[in-house]
Amino acid sequence: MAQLYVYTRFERFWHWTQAMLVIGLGVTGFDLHGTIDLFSFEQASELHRYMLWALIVIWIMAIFWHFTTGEWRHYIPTSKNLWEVIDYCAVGIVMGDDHPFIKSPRRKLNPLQRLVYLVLKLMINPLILISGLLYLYYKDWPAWVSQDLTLTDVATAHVLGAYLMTAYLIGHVYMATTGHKLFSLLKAMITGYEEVPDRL
Amino acid sequence: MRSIHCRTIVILVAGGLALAGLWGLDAEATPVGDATADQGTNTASPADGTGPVVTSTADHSKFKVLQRRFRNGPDVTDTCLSCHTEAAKQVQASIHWTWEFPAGADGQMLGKRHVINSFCGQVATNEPRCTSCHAGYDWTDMAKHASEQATVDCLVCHDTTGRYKKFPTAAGHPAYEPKTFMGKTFQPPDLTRIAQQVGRTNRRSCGSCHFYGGSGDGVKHGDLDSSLIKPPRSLDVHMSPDGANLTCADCHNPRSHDLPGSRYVMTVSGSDNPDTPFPGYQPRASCRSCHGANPHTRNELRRADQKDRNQKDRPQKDRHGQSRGEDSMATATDDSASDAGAPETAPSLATTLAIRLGTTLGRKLDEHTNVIACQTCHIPSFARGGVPTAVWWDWSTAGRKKEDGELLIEKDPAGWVRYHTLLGDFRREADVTPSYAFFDGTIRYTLVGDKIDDREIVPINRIVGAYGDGHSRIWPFKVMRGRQPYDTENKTLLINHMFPKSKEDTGAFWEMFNWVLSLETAAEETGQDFSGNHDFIETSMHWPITHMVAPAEDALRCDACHTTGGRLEGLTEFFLPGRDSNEALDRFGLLLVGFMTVGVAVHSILRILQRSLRLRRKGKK
Repeated sequence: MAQLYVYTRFERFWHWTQAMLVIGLGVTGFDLHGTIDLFSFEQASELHRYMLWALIVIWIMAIFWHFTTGEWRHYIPTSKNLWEVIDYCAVGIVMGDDHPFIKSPRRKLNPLQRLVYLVLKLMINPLILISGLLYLYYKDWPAWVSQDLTLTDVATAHVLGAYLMTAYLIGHVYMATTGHKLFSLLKAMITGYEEVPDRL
Repeated sequence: MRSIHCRTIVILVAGGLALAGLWGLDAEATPVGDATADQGTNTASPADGTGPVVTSTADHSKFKVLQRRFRNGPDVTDTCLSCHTEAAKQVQASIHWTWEFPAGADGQMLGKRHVINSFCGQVATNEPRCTSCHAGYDWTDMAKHASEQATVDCLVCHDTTGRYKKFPTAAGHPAYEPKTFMGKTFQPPDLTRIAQQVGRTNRRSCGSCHFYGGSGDGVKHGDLDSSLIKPPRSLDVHMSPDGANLTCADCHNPRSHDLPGSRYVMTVSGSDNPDTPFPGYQPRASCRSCHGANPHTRNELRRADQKDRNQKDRPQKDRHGQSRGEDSMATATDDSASDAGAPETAPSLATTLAIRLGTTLGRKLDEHTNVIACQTCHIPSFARGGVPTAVWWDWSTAGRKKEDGELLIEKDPAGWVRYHTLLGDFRREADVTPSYAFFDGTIRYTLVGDKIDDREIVPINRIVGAYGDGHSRIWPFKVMRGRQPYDTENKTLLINHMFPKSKEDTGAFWEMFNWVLSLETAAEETGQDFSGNHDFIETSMHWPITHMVAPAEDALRCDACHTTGGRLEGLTEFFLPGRDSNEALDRFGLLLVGFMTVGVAVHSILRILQRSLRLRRKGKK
């Protein structure tokens, strides 16, 4: 077994801060929506707003990091071995197969992951962010926006994004249990080191 | 330990400078409003704290012309006019005198002289009783203009002693000898002393009529009753001696006895109404006159707070440069310690950043002001001062007497009248939650000749306004319900002759308790068409709420409306976050999340099974 340093300090900081903010935004968001009732509307809206700004700061830092370190290359989609990974997730893992994907610091994400994260970063996150900002700044919409867009549209888009994020979160947390051992991947995201089987 | 790099030092210093720069932004002197630019309160010198104290240039007790006995009210008025030569003319041009209000472009003629409502019905044929609240003496016939019959009453508004009372059935005169009404004896007021102590109007003098409309304390408006004479700050921050201690005239800024601020047509000030700051506002004060257009972001609130303090912290000079005397009724209060937004220190860094980013709660509240009237959030309920307001008045049950023929008066456990022979069934309510509607300031009334639909509750008035028209805002209302007589054939509301003008008046309801008779008499005298057939119909009436403004800390919270089952449940023309959502989307979301959860659970179970049963795929190791 080799100990690979796959997640840098910033990457881990980014992951966990973002995770807390996303969960916090989700909880306060659904509180505002009326699905749960933990806070008053006032508290929930203020918390939701503060966490939004924090998340934007984190995202700016993360995007900067992705470009300056070349980490963006990990997300280039490929269809090579995509089917193998899907097969493993659906059937192989239940049948005791080994994971077909060999992780290395130069190749952290398997093809399926690349696809999912790309959709997340380029579609779901922009959806929820832009609709959220439009929602927040409703009173400042210029005429050319309010001609074609209504608050109901924006609210619907935002809530849709929230449901997609929630579905993603469930999947993501579960996926974290699919490492070599149950907590291998969790340990990796805390310490930065992942145990991978020796393979050529 | 590694040595500290130059790079690290540069970053720390740069960061420190940046923080210092932001901190410097805090210290920016944001204009707070001139503490000496005072409120210019119209003030009286009431002996009992129903308004602030101000020294005048004239001591009326020194005027020879007032040092005599007066025969009656009009006699006093004559004397007043010997100096205040234009006063009567001014009063006679105002609604207090004419009881008429031409309302807007479509010209409904409103005012007490013309409207019929679900309280006492109509003034016509009941004059000596109803005109006991006229700002004059001897108006006994609504068919004639007041100026043809009556004389101006100066004392009712300008009395500062609290001793001047108009007798309930004397068409505006006070008692001139001890007289009894409904078991209460009215002593004749000392007109000489009252005349010598006249001053500016105060809450008690205005309230002597406006608090008692509809036959009793607090019956009519819901937000105007005797508890506002000396209200605690929690009841009304503007009128409380512990608050701004404003009199009615401070907001209803009179010019030549013309007082703006009628209930018939209101200013629902939106962005198209640029109020000018107190005290020179035109034509009347609205919330924005003092609180500005952005009252929830720090600066504006602090400026308004400057006025909202204990007496001894108030500016020491009034608008004429007269120094203020100590108000003996001012009470030291702890309230200023809990004033929201009161601290004098600079706002914190976090607050400054938040304001700069433009999305503080205060800014969000400011964003509501063009669709929500200030009153909506800042008057969470009305009739809060201990005087419940009437919410139901069923005239149809009037006329029942006790077995011995005496008037039957039933009271509720709190002592308020619940049934009265003369009036019918009554219901009062305290701490009433308002109902809400979009309001652009105009109200259309159902007047005496108008056709009504007797299959439904008849609206005595209709609130005009709509979402999205650019000048309507959500406003709180009292809704008065009742039952009153109407003509079943002509489908019109009927005037009722209740008050017997003399012992020989056999057509009065309060003499004979015969509806057909009194309705016929009224119809004859006023020229109204009456078919002879009457019944009672339920009516409703909307009263805009604007007084009893609660302290900021008691304002409605977001949850009052941004929730399901909240105060705005009935206003569905717009999307309200927290209340409205797309049902189909919620179902989809639930399914999606449910599907993911179930999928994850199933997948986990399969993996656990694989582990424990050591399953392997055929053909693989």
